[in-house]
Amino acid sequence: MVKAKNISFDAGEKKILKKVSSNFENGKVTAILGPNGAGKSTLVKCIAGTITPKTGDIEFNGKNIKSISLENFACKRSYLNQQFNLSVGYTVRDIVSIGRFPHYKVYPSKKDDEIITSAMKLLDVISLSDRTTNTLSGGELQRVHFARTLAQIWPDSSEEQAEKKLLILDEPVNNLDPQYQHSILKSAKDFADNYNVCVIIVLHDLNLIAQYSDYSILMKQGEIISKGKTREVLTEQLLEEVYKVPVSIIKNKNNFNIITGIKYNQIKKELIK
Amino acid sequence: MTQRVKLTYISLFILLPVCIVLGTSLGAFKIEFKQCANILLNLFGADNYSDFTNPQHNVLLHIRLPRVFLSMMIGAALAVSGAGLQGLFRNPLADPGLIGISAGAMLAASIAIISGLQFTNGFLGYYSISVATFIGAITTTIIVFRLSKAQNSTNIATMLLAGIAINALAGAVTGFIIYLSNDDQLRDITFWSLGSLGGADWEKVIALIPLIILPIIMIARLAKKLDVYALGESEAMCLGVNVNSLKRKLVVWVTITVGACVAIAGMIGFIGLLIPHITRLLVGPKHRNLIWISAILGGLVLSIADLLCRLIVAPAELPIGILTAILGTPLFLVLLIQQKRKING
Repeated sequence: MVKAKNISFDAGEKKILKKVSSNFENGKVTAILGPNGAGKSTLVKCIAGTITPKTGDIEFNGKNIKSISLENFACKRSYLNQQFNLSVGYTVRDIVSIGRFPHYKVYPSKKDDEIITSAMKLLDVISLSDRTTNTLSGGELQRVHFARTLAQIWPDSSEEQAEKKLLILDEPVNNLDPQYQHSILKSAKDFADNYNVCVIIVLHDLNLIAQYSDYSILMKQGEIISKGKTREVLTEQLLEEVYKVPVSIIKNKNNFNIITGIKYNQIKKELIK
Repeated sequence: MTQRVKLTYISLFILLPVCIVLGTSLGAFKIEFKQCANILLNLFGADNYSDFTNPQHNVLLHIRLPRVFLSMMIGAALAVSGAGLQGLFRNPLADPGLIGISAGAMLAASIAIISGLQFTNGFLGYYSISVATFIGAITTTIIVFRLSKAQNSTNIATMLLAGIAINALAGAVTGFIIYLSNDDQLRDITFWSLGSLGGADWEKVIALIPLIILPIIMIARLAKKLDVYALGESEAMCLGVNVNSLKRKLVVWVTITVGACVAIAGMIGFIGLLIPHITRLLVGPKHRNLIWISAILGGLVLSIADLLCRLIVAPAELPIGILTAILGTPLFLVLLIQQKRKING
């Protein structure tokens, strides 16, 4: 469980975050959405601990993250950034292995090796194992880094009593085709459902948010303007107001989908005619 | 360890004694390979071989052998420093000159030379230029490091720019000092800037051992962290690496060891840039192998380069900085072009 309390962050004169507070549940996927420049990435960076907020505190499983050592936090929380550095010459397996870095001293154990292989299989990058990262396509690279991020907090059967883990993904479906967009979000959701991981995803695609998130936080200009269960927060009226495009929501008991750019109901009437 | 890495280690360890024998037997003063081997064996108590003369024994043990050791140590230190800094700047073109070490050393050495420090007597007098150079190198790096600090964290891009600025300033002041110098001093400054391993003796070797071996070990211990750092700064933080401490440790050890090398041998370029580059082609970018193999390869290459310096214009000697640059530049360009072709398919 993560609690963000009164988080503010400035970049020079510009106020990026204005006293943002929110809780993120274990075993649930929480999506953060909002227009460009809303402060979504800054908020998740504060939660991941890569930047320090100007005011406010982040609590992870009841402890202030400032009081958790870097090494310890690294075994519990992993974070997928929006951009990657080109790590020239490293192979795909090298990159995924780096995800296990916090768990071993000099050389990875047999268990670490198994986890690395499992993560690569899950993301379908095992066939790329020995390719160097500069020969990969954008989508392949994205999957490799996602595999690294999962390997870092891969569930470990010997740690059943251990603290719950945290997975933070900043736009994880960049560059991906629809097949992998769904498979990546599905793996994230599986981590939440099966291993009680707290998953936080910054995502733009409203339809994917509708399908994969349990909770949603809608941000605009450094403030949270609505939060709660995804089905309750995401309404046509609110989304149209925020994004200034037509939005249609199609839902019944089992399905919840969002289309942007057209009003579905008007077309449906014409089609029926 | 992969097959390729093992093979590289084995071949380098075979080349090491070959380089020692070549470096001690070849030169203006003639010593046969066999005699050379016998003198070296004699050191280890096998005294039934004695087909060599006393001068040969002395030249080999007190002039050539320390020189070979010195060149190997300095080559190793420069190569490891280059590998470390390339990791820190996440750029294969980084070298120790970038953070102001060489410019500061050059400035300090010029000041020491024109102020006539080297003519003072006594222990410190003999080593005065070395001591001044070492202090100069460390001072400039401290300035560069301080300038790049903002809110308790070191910004690598600022460090690069601060390095360029301090290099330019130190260069200008050095220019002014050269303007003030007389002909003899000018000659001294010029030769100092071209580097030399002449005047090697056991005292220098022993003085350098802690300043080279310790930093190499400490830099090698950062290897795993440098691999993580290659992913990016925030990634490294999320994977439990204290990036500020990593930067500080790396800069401290590099400055100490390169400062010591420059103090003893003057400016020797291209080793720090080129050796890690070649090593990466041999064994890949992971820092544990990169650092150790760079160390051995750097030692080998510099000892061979020094040998060539002694042979090409024997009985005179070529400044070693000239040779490393003349051989290094074309090799570097070939590597660059090859790499570019590889990336562009």
